[in-house]
Amino acid sequence: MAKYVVKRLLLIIPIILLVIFIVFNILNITPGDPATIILGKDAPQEAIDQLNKELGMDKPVMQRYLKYVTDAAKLDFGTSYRSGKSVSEEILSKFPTTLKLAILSVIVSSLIGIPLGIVSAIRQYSVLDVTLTVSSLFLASVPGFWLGLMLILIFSLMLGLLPSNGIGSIKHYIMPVLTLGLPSAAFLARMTRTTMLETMRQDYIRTAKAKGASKSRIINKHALKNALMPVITMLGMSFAGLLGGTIVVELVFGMPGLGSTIITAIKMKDIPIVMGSTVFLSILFMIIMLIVDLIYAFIDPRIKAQLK
Amino acid sequence: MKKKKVVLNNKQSQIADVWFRLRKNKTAMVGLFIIIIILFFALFADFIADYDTKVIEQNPVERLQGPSFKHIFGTDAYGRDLFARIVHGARYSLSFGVVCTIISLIGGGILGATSAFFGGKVDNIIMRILDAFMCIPAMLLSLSLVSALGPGLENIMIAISISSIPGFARVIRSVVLTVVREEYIEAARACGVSTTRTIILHVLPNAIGPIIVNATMNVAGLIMAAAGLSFIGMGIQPPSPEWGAMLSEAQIYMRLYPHLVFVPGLAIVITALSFNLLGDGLSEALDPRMKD
Repeated sequence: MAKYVVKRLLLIIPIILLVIFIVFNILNITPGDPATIILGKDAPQEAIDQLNKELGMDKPVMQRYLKYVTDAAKLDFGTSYRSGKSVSEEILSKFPTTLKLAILSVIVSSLIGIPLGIVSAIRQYSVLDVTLTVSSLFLASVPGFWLGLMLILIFSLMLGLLPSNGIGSIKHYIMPVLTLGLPSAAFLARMTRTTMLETMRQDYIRTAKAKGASKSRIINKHALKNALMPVITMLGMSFAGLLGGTIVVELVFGMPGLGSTIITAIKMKDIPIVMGSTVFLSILFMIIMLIVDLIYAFIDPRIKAQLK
Repeated sequence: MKKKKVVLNNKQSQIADVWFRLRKNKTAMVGLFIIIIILFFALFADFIADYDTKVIEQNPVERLQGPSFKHIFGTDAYGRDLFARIVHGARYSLSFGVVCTIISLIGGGILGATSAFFGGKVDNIIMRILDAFMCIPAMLLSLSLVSALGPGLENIMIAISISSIPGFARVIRSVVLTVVREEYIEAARACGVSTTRTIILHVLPNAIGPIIVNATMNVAGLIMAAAGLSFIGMGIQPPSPEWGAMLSEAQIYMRLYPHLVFVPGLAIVITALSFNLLGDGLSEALDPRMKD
């Protein structure tokens, strides 16, 4: 087991290097050199040249990439072009809002999605099941920004119940969490339903039925444990997806999180912030997926046996 | 009756079979029907409303009107007919959804099939690079690509296509891998059928089902992604009638003129939903377990 964990941890390193390489090269072809962005177009050419040199822009791309990676290993992602603050400081000050939003959304979506998925699998083709299938397809077709705007329209502008902007209180989080959580709940419900239906078709369920076990015993003792295992992977995936989804939702609800920081940075060509946040979120995604895989290996006796 | 028909058209039996099962699926047919209507609007947009005078030209006298006989969806803040703008916007959404899906299908197909056929080191290298791409949240990847390439229709299309290539490559790789291992492929090879012929006649028809389902669902995702980019202000710019851009323009008028936000959003939802319904129906119709 320990060997497996170490192996997986080591395997993640080349992927991280590759991710940084991709992001670095994409953002490197962004038009405009950093000194012109920082000092403005009207600055004297000598000053621009000098600042570019100070920033290391005269060195080849590969060399700059290596410097970026070694700095990033020390959690130094460079300095913002606009505010002059360090990028890691900026990320750490904005990230808690985004993380809070993502965690609350995961909790809400799994509390709604998983039980609904189980019940509609047990009662396949019932009214609840059909409603769930249709509404999950519908929610999969609603873009987050529009769902958010519609919630604002109903609950803030028409009913005046909830604030539409800011992060002052827990009330401010209700609509953003619903915007992110509802589509994710629909996805989870659908997936849970599929795995549960597949489990119910397994031989050991038939054996249990043949032995005369009651329906509730079959579901609680035999089916649920096996059906919920793939759901853990999906939870991890949807959590990672929510971290990306917060970008638009933060914009709609005017929340000062990492997402709105990235959008502002892209519009203002503040490349270090864009690069740092993208790398940060991608690494976070990898770590979440790794943790999910490890949990999976830990609780699934089949994988556990293979590792021994 | 119907069974006879399937048996008679032996050569087309697979397609006929799938079509027969798809036709029984009401929701999928509703999806297909709406897609055809949207396609019709997109193709004949210029006949329905003139681009320069109706969609772009401002008409302050008629600004911010509610729905009426003259303007069924009302007018926007510049007095432009919302219906005309929605109709022309269908062109953007369909081209983003369909064209970008085709591009990423080709890209993903080449990468995935190469990976599956050669295996070993080639497979490893391609898949690790794609893994790295998949770790970057799709929205962030296309945002960085747009900011690097600059705005403009082609660049946005490239950015969106690239972000969905890795997913396709993975699906196509795994589908091709399972098909190649089947006995009928081995039989074809044993009979001395050439590799090209094997791929075209035996591998492709058997691998295409899951790929079509994925592509259909992907169209919906890309339509929403493209609208999202324009909503943020990094995609198609106003006054072009892109649905996401229209939404972001209308946001400030939301309190007093909610129809300005409601209509473009609903257009996105209906289009995406139709593709999802069709994809869902296709996945059922193409599932071999559903036969008979």
